[in-house]
Amino acid sequence: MASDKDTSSETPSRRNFVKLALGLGGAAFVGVLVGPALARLLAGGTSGGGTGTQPAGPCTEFASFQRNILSGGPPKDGIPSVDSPRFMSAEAASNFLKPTDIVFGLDYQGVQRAYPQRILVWHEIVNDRPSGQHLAITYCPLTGSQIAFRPPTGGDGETFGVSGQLVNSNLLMYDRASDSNWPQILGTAINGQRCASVLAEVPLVWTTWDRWRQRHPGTEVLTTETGFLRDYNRDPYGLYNPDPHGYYRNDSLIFPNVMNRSDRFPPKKVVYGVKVGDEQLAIPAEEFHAVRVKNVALSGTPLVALQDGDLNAVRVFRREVEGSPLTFQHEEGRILDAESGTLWSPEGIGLEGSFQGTALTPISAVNVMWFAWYAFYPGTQVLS
Amino acid sequence: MTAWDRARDRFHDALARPRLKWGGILAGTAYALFYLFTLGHIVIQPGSTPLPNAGVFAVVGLENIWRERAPYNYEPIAVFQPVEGFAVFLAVPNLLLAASLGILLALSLAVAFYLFTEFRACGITGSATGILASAPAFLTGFACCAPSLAISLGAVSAASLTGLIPILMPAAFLSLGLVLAWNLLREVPNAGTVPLTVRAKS
Repeated sequence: MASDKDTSSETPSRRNFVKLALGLGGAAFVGVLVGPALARLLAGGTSGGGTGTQPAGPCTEFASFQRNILSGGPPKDGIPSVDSPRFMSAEAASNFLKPTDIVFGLDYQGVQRAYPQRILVWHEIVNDRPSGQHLAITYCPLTGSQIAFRPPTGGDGETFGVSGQLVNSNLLMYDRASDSNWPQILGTAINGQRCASVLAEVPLVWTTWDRWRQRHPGTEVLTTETGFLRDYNRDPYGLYNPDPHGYYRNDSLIFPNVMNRSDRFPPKKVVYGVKVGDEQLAIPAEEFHAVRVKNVALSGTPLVALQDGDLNAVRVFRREVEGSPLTFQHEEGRILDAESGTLWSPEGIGLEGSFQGTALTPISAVNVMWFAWYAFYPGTQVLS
Repeated sequence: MTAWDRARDRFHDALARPRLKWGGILAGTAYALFYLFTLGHIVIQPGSTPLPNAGVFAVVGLENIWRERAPYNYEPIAVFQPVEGFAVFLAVPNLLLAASLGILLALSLAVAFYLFTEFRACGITGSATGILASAPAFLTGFACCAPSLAISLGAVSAASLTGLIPILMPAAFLSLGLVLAWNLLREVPNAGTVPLTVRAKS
C-alpha cells in the first residue's frame, strides 16, 4: 500500500491543486452546462428551436405536415449550411475524392459543379451562386435525397438554413428572409409568410466522381473549406462507397414517425421521384437499368425518362418540341424519337436529324428512398 | 467532528495516497479522451487526413466558439493534424466539459477506492460489504460512460434519444457529483476518519 500521511501535513500546493480542480470544474459547469440548459429552458424547453410551432393560420392545407414536424436533435443551424462555398479543379479534387465517391452533379447555365456527398452530409445545404444566380443545393442523408432549388419568386439573394427539424425524416429547411419552413422533398413552404409557395427545382444528378469527371472534365468541385471543421472522411450515418452500409442499407428508420407507409418496396429502395402539377411518379432505379427509355405523362404533360448510362442516373425531360409531343424509343443502344428519327443524347440534346441541337426541357428527378417519397406522396404512380 | 470536517479529511487522505491519486488522474484523463473520441473530436483513421488542405494546425471560424451543433456538442474552432491518420478537433466548451467530467471522475474514483481499502483494513471483509463498497465505483463508471455514449450518438442525430440527450450531460454531472458527495459525507461504521496507518502509529 502506498504510504499515508497525516492530514495535518498537507501542503499548500495540494490545497491549491484541489481548489484549482474544483474551481475549474465549477467554472466549466456554470459556463458550459448550466448556460445552455438555461437558454433551452428560456427558449421553451426544446432543442429544435425551429419554427414548426407557428400557427397554421390561413395555411390549413398543410396542417398535417405542421403536426408532423419533429426535432432531429441539433438546434437551428446546428447543422451549418455552407454560405460561402469554394471550388477547386477536378485535378485537385482527385486528391480528396475516390473514384467511386458519391457526388451531386449540377450542369446549369453552362456551369458544371460537383458537390461531394462526403461534404454535404455534414452541411445539408450549400447556398451557391453558379452563373451569378442563387441556387440552394440540398441533401438529406436520412432520406437519401438531393435537390437543387431556385429561391422563391422575387427572392433572389435569399439563402436557406437547416432548421434542425424533420418531416417524414426529411430535412426541414428554412428561408432566412421569412423563416418559413420547407420540407426538402415537398419543396413547398408549410408555414410562415410563404406558406404554400413552391420552389422551382433544378436537376441535380446523383452519380460517382469518376463518372462525373469523365462527362465533365472541366467541372468545379466543392472544397472542404466550408468555414467549419469536420471530419469529411467520415459519414456519421454509414457508407455509400463501395456499397451502402449502416443506415443507408438497413430497413430501420432513426425517426420512424412518418405520415404514410407502404410495403410495396423495402423502405430504403432507391427510386427517382418526379412531380408535375398534382401528380407524382416513382421510377425504381434498379429496374430502370433494363428499361432505358420510357414515355409517360404526368398531369397531362408528356415526359420521357432516359437512362444515362455514363452517369448511372435517370433523367427526365418534357418530350415536346415546338408544342408537338415526341415518342422516344431505344434501338441498339441509341435513343431516337419515332416522329423524326432524330438521335438524342441521354442529356436530352438532339445529336443528329431534324432536331439536331435542340434541347429538351429537363425535369428534376430526385434520387430518394422509397419510404420518404411515399410518406409525402401516397398517391404516387410507380413506373412498372 | 462535523460531516464537512470528515469530508475534507477523507478527500485529503484519498489524494495523499499516490496510487489513488495517480489512478484517479489516469482514469479521469482516459475518460476525458474517450468522451472526446465518442464525439468525433479525436480522429484515429489510418491512411486518411480529415482536412487535407488545412495543414498541421488551423484555426477556422473563431466566431463559432460558443455555437452548439447539438445539445452539449459545440463547433470546433481549430484542428490539429500532426500525422496522417490522427487529428484532434478543438471545441473549447467541449474541452471544458471533458476536463470537468474527467476531474470529477478522478476525484470520485479516488475517494471510492479510498473507502474500499478502509473497509478491508477494518476487517469487514464479508462479500456483501465488499459489493456495497464497490458500488460507488460501479455507479461512477456507469454515470460517466452511459450518458457520454448517448451524447455521442446525439452528435450524429441518432435520435430515438433526442428528447433525452439535453438532460444526459447534467445527469452525468449530477450522478458523479452525488456519488462523490455521498462517499465524502457518509458515515462508515468502524472505518473512522483517520487513515489506517496514522491510527496504527498512534
